[in-house]
Amino acid sequence: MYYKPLIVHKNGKIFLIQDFDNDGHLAQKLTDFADMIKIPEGVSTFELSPYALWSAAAKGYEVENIISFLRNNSCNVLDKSLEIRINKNMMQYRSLKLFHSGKYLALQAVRSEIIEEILKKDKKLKEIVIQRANDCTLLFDTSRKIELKKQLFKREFFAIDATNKMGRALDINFLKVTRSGVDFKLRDYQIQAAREFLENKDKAGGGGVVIMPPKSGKTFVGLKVIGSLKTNTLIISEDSSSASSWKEEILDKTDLAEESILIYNSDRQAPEPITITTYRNLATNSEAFRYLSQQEWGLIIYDDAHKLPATTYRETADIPSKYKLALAATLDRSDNQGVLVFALIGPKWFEILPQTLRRQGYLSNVECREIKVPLSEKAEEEYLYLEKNSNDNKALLKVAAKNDKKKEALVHLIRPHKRTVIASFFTDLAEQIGQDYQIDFITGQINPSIRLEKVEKFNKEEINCLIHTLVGEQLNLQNIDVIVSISYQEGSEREEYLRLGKLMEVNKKDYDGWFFSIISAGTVEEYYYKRRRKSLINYGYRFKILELKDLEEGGLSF
Amino acid sequence: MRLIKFLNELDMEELLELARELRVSIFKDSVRSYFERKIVEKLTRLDYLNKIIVKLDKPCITTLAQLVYFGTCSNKKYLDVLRKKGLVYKDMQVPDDVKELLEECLYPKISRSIRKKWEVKETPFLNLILLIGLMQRDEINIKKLKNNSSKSKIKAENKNAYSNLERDRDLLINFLEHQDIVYWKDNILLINRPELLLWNKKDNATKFELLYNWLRAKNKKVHEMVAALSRIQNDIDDWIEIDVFVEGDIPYTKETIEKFGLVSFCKIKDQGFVKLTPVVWYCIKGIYSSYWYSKSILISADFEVFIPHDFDPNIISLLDKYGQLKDFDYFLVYDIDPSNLKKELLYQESKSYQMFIEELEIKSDTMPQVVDYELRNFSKELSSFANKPII
Repeated sequence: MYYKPLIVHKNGKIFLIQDFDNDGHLAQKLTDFADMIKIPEGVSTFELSPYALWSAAAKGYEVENIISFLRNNSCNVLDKSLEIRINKNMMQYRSLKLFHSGKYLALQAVRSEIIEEILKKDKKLKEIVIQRANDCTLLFDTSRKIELKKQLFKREFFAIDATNKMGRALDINFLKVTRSGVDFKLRDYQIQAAREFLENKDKAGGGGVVIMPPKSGKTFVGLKVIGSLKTNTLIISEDSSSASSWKEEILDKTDLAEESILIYNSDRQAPEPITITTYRNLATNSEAFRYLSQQEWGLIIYDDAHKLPATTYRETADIPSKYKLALAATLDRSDNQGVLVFALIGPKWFEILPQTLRRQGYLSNVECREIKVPLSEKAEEEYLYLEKNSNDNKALLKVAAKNDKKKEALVHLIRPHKRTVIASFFTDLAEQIGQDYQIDFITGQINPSIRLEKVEKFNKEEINCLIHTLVGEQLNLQNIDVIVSISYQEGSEREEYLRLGKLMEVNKKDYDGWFFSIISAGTVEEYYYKRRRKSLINYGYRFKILELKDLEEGGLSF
Repeated sequence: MRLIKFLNELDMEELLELARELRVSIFKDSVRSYFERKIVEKLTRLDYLNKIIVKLDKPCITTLAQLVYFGTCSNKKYLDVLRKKGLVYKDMQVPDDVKELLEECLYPKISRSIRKKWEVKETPFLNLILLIGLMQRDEINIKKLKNNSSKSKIKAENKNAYSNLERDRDLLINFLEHQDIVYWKDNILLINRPELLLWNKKDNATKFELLYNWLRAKNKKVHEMVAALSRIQNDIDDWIEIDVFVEGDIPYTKETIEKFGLVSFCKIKDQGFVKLTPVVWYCIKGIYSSYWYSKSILISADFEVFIPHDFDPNIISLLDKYGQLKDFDYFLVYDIDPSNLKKELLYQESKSYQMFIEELEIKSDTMPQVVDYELRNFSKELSSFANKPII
């Protein structure tokens, strides 16, 4: 019945019927000018948000390009009001600019009506205006920059941030053969991501966002940008392990001397041409924050940029730098504030979908199965008792997590020829399974050096199966064929996405990765897991639900 | 009146002239009855009528179609041509037996199959389904304003999805008042639950009929248009030339007519066309539209159902009952995750829920396994819940 791939609603929602887009070209194309909302099996949803359209204009898209693309690909008539809005949002590009004027921060519009509209629409913003310099310019205190950008973004006024003018030269070059002795070449899409940032950054004041799935090499994009700009750089990463891995990659793949790279931990260190720190360090150490803010950075890289909108980390966007690059696998946040990254850093210059990388052979396919198991008699008795007498969700979750029947499912999922990692939130469960099935386990209680030994054993293929708790999420486990989740914290959806990312490397034995989640049916665990499942489904993972009896009847081959 | 009767009333001269026009062989000794018989033979043959029509120009065909379908015409200047061909008699009458055949010959001339982009035409009936759903679930509060219009309050997260309701809200409240389903108390709209229960038991065709009979009184032109079009249009996909309708002001009242969601309009190179919407096809002609048999429902693994707004209202009603409306434009987008439903409130609905799953399966190409599993699981739980003894 449908004769074209899209249905476009007048509110800007675009529904893509996936049967028309087996090669994923359309979905990828839509990311150029629309926000990808979700890509679950069946129908993908995109949205023509005002900022996505503004960014498209910055990238060089014309109104007519977008409208004719939508017209050519949609079954339904494009509503006139939507066409008007597309035009309005795209025409807004270059209409507002933010720059330093003396000791003030100036917001200048191309027409006085825009300033009138801003003042009319936003009382909060009106209150922080220090002076109206002329019909088209408002002056603010420089310390109000983040607040101002946030408010403007909220009211759908997008300004080019031209306040960043600094930076010092850095001599850095890529090595053709890495220090670890491997031929190194960036992949095409990594080069393209860096190029999109480099070519477009000045169109919106020097900032921008690159979105790429886990395991697709965002760090290399960052390195390419540093290498091209050849300027001193501050890298803000999620945690110390990620900071170390940035340092290792820079050392391994560039000619920069080790003493030029600093992992910034205390407020007494002098920054080096490349300084790496963490969001937490900046948020908790005000001295470090002040000191690093006073440096003349040429580039700041916000790694795992979904962290940035957190109230405690938001201030890091205020550190001055000529250029700012935000790298993220996803901007999804439970508080829905992910889009603030655009307000604080700049437009999305590049996004590549997991399915595009899968199609190009850079990521492997991952099959997800949720295995529902009933509660064992003992667990059920305990669960019902707790449910009736305490209704303590945490206690209920623990009983559901430790359900004996899960082990019955687990034995069907561990195959000797598959490199399997089992993830458990509960330490005692991890230990118990490790002991029962003689599987090496890594928990927080184990000495870090022993942990690393076990990782090495796994990566050298001396062992094919490993069980770990939360501490293992940060470990660099390679060539995994199967991940089995057996117990869960209530809910980080993103954690599950990143966990799954470990299965997407292509240099493993099997092309398909397998992700199993064992869930106690009819319990709070099932309820919480649904949220995680929903999130993975919306990232485009294909899920199927099986029951323990399906495994027992041989209903799973992998 | 049949053709022979009209011929009987012609004088011999007129009859001879017609016979000549129709190329009836004329012999010296031919008598009146011979001519009448030969003319009838010709004018009641489909192939012969087709030959005549092919030679007529467009305005003449339009006039003939108006006479055939409406017994009158908007332009009398073509009547002489039609009289000369023996198709029209007296003032402007078409013999009944010829009329029947002419309908068949004229239909391809006045109808067309047009592939055009789909448009969104929300209807009062669809809005009625949605409004009643909201009222039933206590998700809307309606207050009467001083100017006798109303103001509604719905949850912030539902506002966008239901924004299309605004247009018809006051009209529909009037209708529901007329049906005794709602009433005002201290300027607040309240539900008469027993009447609502009775309303819910009615099928959608009856509900539709009640609404449109009530609306008919409010707009005679719409009713006439629908009645006329339902007489002419033979196939749901056919578009009928608007010129065939004698009422010349139809194109100017297009918006009023369209607002009721009964007739669709389109224009190709200055020629207007109309057709009945699927819901009219179903409720007035009693035919389940072939479009509604199509697998037009899309289901995503995120438990979202995308159903075209002009699809079978029976399925839309089910979705409105077991899902949560998220967006409403060309598609009505419903979240059908059963974890949002309360088993305790649905224990009597296990059969209806089962039917809901079946309808979704039949009317969609694929249902992702996750969705299928969870819906069936919920259905099983409903059945076992219903069978539990009440303590």
